[in-house]
Amino acid sequence: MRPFSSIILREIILTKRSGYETFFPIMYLFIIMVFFSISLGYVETIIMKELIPFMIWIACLLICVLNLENIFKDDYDDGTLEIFLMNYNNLEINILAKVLSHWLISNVPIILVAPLISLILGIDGQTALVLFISLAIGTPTLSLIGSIAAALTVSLKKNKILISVIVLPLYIPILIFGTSAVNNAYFQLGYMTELYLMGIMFMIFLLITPSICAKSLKISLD
Amino acid sequence: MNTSLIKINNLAVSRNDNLIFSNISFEVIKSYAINIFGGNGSGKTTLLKTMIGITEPSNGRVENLNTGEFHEKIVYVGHKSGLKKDLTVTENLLFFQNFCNEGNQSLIQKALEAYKMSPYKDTPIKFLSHGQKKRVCLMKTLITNSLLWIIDEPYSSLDDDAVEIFNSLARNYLKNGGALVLTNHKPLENTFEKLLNIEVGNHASL
Repeated sequence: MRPFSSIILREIILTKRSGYETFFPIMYLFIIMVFFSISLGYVETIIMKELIPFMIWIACLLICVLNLENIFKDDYDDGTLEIFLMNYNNLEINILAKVLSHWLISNVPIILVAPLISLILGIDGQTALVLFISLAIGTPTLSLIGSIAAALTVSLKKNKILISVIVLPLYIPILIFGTSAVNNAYFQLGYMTELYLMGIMFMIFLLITPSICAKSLKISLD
Repeated sequence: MNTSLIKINNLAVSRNDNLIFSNISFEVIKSYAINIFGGNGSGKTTLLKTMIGITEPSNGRVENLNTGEFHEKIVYVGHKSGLKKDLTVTENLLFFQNFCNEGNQSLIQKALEAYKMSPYKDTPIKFLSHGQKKRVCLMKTLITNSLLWIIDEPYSSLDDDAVEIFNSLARNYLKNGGALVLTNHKPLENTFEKLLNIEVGNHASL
């Protein structure tokens, strides 16, 4: 487990020293919420409340995409990826450590803050709890899917837009299940099916992502 | 006792239908230094990358003659440093050691002293010169328990003092049963007791 934990620790130190702060994603979420509120100012308050979970989910997708490029790019540029690939037996575990670091840095602050924001904006406790659970299950899947695109495009110089173009359509099922679960909770309908489906998607991508990323990185470096 | 670590058999690599090198065969043997030399673009780095499994050969094979997790017993120092510019020298070395699943931190201290980099141990990599970065890269060879060093152009960017330090550490390593594969622009003479010079790239112009 030492390589796994050392990668996560190193990523957190590097992120801290690069000038990135934990509250940046939270600020980003806040700004997007303000943008949505301004542009939907003419909508009635009751409808606005229904839209809040959708806004939060879309903000989460965008924040996740913003940092995807960095999962492997720096390691590719400075040669660390060569050392990763050399240690081929542990490559998949190392890739998981990188994806987990991305999730911890980009998404965890949002997962913790988004339900609080929704409560402040007048959403009930049950819906906020479902929002929290759906984000906690859904965002790791977003990071896993995104890491595949990041690995495929790692050798390209300007890969940010390409990653977004590849990844955003693949995020649609997660967005549908996530927002549907929260919406059902808001209207006091059953939401467990959506959460189970999101859980299944997470398990599937947890299983397939490391090996796909490993192959993609190997092709990129060859 | 088997002293052979890796057997390279009739190896060829091509890129976009251009043959970079072909018919390369040799064995990496304990206590031997192998110098792979050739001009720019002759395929020296590609050969090293093929040896460690990053690049796929178009023909031939790289045979691992050692049992167990052999790749964990190789230290590879490539063209790219593998160092994070925002981390200090010690933090970079500590990460590399942890990544290789080894925990003897006193080795880091010894490596810093050997390459005369102790005063810079808490300096971030971004403040070091190119030659000092190279010294830090070469320190990786000293902080893990390895069977083989594979080093791409170890002498580039190094001053005479650092070259002498590297040569003397490598001699000591070879004497204790280690093996060394390095690349250089020209053949080496008498640098190591047991030395094999191999030229690559003579097929590149075909």
